[in-house]
Amino acid sequence: MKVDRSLLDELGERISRARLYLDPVTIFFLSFPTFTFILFLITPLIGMLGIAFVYKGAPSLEWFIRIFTSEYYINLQGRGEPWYYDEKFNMLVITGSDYGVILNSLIVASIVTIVTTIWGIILAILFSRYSFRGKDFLRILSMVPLLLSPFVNALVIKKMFNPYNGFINWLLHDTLGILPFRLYIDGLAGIALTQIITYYPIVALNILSSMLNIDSTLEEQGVNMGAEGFTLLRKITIPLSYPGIMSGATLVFIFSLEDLTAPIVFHGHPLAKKLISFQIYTKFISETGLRSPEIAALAVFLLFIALTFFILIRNYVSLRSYASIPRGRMLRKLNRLGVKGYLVVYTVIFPILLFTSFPQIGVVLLAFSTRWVNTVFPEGYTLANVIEVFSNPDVFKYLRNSVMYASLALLFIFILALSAAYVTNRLRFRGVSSIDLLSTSPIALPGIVIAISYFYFYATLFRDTILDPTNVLFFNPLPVLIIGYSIRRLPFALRAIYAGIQQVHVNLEEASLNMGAGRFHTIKKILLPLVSPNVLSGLLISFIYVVGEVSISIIIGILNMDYAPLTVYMRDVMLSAVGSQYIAAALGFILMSMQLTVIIIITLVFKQRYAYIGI
Amino acid sequence: MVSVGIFNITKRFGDVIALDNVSLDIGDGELFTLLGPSGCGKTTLLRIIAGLEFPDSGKIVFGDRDVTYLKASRRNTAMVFQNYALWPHMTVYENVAFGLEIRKYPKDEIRRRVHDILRLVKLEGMEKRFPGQLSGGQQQRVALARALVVEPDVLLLDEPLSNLDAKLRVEMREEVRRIQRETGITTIYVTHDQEEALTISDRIAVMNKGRVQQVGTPIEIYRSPKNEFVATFIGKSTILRGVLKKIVDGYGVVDIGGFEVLGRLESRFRVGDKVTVIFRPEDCRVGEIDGYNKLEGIIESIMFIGSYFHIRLNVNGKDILILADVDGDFKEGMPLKFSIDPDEVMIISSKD
Repeated sequence: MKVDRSLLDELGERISRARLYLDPVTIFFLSFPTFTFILFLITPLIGMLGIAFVYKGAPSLEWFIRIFTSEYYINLQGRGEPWYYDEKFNMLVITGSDYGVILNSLIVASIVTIVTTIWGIILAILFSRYSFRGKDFLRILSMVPLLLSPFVNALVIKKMFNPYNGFINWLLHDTLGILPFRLYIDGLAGIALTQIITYYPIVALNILSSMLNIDSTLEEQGVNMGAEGFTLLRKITIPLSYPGIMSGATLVFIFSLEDLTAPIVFHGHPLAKKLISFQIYTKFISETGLRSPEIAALAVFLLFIALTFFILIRNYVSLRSYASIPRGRMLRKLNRLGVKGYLVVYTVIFPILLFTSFPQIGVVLLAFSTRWVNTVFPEGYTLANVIEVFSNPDVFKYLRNSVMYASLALLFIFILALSAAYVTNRLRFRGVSSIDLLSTSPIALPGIVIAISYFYFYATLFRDTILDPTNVLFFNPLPVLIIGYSIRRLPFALRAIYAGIQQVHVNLEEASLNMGAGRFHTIKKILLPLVSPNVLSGLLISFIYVVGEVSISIIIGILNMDYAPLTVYMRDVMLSAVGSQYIAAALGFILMSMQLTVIIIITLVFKQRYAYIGI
Repeated sequence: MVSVGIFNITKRFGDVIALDNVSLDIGDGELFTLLGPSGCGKTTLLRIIAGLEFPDSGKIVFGDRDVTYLKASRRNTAMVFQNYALWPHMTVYENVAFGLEIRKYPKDEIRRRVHDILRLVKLEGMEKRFPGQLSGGQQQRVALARALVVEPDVLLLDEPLSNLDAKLRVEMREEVRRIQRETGITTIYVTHDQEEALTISDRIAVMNKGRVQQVGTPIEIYRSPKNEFVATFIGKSTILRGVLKKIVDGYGVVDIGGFEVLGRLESRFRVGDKVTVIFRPEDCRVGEIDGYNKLEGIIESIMFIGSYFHIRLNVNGKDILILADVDGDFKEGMPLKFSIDPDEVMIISSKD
């Protein structure tokens, strides 16, 4: 008992000590994100564990054993050739082999990660260490795949590799004759290719920012010691960029695992269905309303992998933040590209970058075409599709819903991001770091897992209310979507606001407190005006990614079509040929235009860098 | 304006003890300096006085008001930060007026007071500038004005001059002294610059490793350092260790090993005690002068420091620093005779 007593005393003293540094505002800032994450992130996920680990009313690993022993999920032999040559059609068919759902997902994710990382390192070195004509253009080109066009960009990639009238075969086989055969990429290979094209800028940007942050004197010292060229890269530059490489690679690995859009677009090929994310999704929609432990077990497995990687990489990166002291940092002297260099850049790198921007270009073409089915290029061009988005109330409602949700979510995101960014920057208590961990984790949590855990969570805790997704007649997804969107897209705003607060010296706030102003007044008059560019940029980025959100939208938002968001319409087009791909593309075009506008506002008006998120 | 009482303040950051049972008594209207090397705890103490940190134990008292756990915004102290902490999005006027607006003064009153204080710090006409448009010295004055305008009970200055260049620093410290005299505000000044501390302070507390080493007027601190740390931190000193051989009337003879030095005993000693002998270079006279402490050494190095030479001598294997006029003819390796006035030689315990 004595021990307990002294422990209690110590705890009491700690709390009373901490309270000295707190006031109503900081208490709110601490508790608001804490309660939000506990209620709307941790509880739903734990609820899902409760389903996955229970068999016949008792705790059990039964569902996991079923998954891991089934050949459907894990098949070490592998079925089917990954590629073969079809003589009759003079066609090289690449689809990948079937190693079972779980291994397929891990293999695709690994291939995507390895390819994007190598390509990302090459681009980052080129952009951070060399100067050459056309560099700005190539950099912008390498960012094009970041333009959000869920589903439709994958559709365009599928079109491009159509063996008969796809652009790639038309160009490389029919016209230029470089390829001696036609190329047909589908199934798992098609998904991997789509993900590589879509995700490589994330790795490249993470590595690039790492490389740009290396103090140039560190490399000059290396040169001074006699390291040059490739040795310098291998010994100094790349090791110093590990934090960027690792976090970029981890993000892409997780994004690939959880991606739903590419499998949905390629689902016509049987192999494309055999991925974890797609399995969770199809099993879920075919069993809506039922609590399926098998789905929960698969989701828990996916969550486990994502969380493990996320936590490992966070520790790794924080251990290895090679922060050099930035004392009047000198501008780095860039190497000039020689003739050979120009040759490589413009005959290899430029064509690849151009190729990776085709999906976005294709979406724009599709949005403005009259018909584009059996031809290499659209048969004709029209404004009708874009006009129809706004004039047809059955289509416009999706856009309107999405913009409304995103606007409402922004208010929530603002308070959540400001609170979390403020306490993690300004308060030095034990436990503050867990707010940091929780508020950044949504970037790495699979959307499909959050979406399904939400479904169970609301169906259980809010049974027979308008928040119950199984309540077919009265379900109103608005609050569920707004909370879900806010948590999933919080990291974008959080990161921007966090960086802003970090740049405001704490003395500026202390001077205000010292002058007699309270915390609220200090934040309103001193902090917020100083970080307003960061706040606005962060919120704008979050806005775009809320509008483009897929997982929660197509699982929760689909349950009452009057309230459905824009990505639901896109999904319907891909999955069941309801609606028109031209209008889906028009929606994609509108989304990309909004994103471009936001980027322009952020860079020109707020003078901020538009950065994709890392860990 | 109040006196400030600091009673047994202890503060830890994790395993590091920033302040170890510190007690000080600062008089009403006094310019009191906390002097010490970086990491000695002086800024932490200042922040505790401001209410930006709270002590683990101990008490802070303004006049007869216990303010130990009072929030910073309720203390009516005014702090000038080392980096000035001027709000970059506000003009000079808005920066200075901020504290008055918080205190809900009428608009006219605010205008009058801001105007007066800007005149005091010689910044009239700069009201509409932003901090980014001012020089370092001007920013410093704005920070000072912002602190003074609220008529604080205690003015807290945290290394306010350390970001200025050498010439401006000297100008500004006279300025700070003048303004403090004119306003009569109790002022606590933190610095690591001993010259700054000696020139402006009424009293100084020398701190090291979270403890107060000595409190006294600048002259007391300089002339009678209580221990080796104070002696070496303030001014240049020669420090020798030896054994006390003889005691006569408050003076003692110390055997350094090869030669003897006569000096003032700073505390009670017995013959045979291990002691430390401290004297300043300027108290050593070059040449053969009658009296005590006549010594001779070989010149090891000569450093020109402006109006004098600093000469490092080897006296029987011991390093001794002396000051010599520049008109003398000195060369390295040359023998040199000198003497030290026994009244300027301090003998202190070796334990401190």
